Amino acid sequence: MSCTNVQNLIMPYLDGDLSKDESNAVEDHVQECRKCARDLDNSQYLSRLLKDNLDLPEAPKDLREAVIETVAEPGKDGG
Amino acid sequence: MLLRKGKKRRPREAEAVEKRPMFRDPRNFGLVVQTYQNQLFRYVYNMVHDHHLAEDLTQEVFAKVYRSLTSYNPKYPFSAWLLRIAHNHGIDYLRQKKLQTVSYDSVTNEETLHEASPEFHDTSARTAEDTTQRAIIQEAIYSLPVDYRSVIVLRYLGGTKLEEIAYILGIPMGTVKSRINRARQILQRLLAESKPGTRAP
Ligand SMILES: [Zn+2]
Repeated sequence: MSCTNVQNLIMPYLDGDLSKDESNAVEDHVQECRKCARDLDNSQYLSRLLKDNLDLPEAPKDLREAVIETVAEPGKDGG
Repeated sequence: MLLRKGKKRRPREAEAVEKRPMFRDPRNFGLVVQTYQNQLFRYVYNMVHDHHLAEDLTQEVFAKVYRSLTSYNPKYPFSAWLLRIAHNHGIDYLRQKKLQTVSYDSVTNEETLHEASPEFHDTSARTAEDTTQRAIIQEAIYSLPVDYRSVIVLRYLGGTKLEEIAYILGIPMGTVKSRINRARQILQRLLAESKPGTRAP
């Protein structure tokens, strides 16, 4: 497998979207190719950083109640 | 060695709700809100980066969802359908505000910072180093144009499949892939610039 092919497969590889054969091919390649191994390493590191550091606030406590109030307002009759 | 991400992170309750037709029944709407409020709120928050605004928009999104429950097509997961509505609503809002191609931070500083209090400034519970890294990464993410930020947030917030991202954003798969790659390149560069310890390509 060429470096270009491997480059294109790094993201799906990290995301677990590749078939077993494709995954094996990527793994074989990075055993031999330092450049692709480093790219894989960098990509993995960035994925980890993003996953660990996304801003994930909880929904406000009263959101559910506010929504229910909104949709319960007159206008449509559910039966 | 090489780590592989195996499982998609989706709450168990969400799966259960999706698999039953009951969520289409308006009487169960409270359960729908309960199940998906964090997911939608986080997505909208990451679009607008303002807690109060995100709260208002999320409420409006749920109201839209409620009105169109019967039009849900189970070809895609219920959560993807909700995110699609949330995304469109957020984009409509940003378009009105003409923010869609502008880095949010540059606008925030000038116009809305005095009224908004972004959550990530509340760092009391974290260590200083962790806080710095979080702040740098979040700042980098918020500095992306919303088109790029959306794919990153969907991909790494919920581990959303590429196909679902395409559906949520209403763009082709190829565009999803190129946006993810491009966004990652930008982020990698930003992070390398802002922190010497961060590895660059
Ligand atoms: Zn190579």
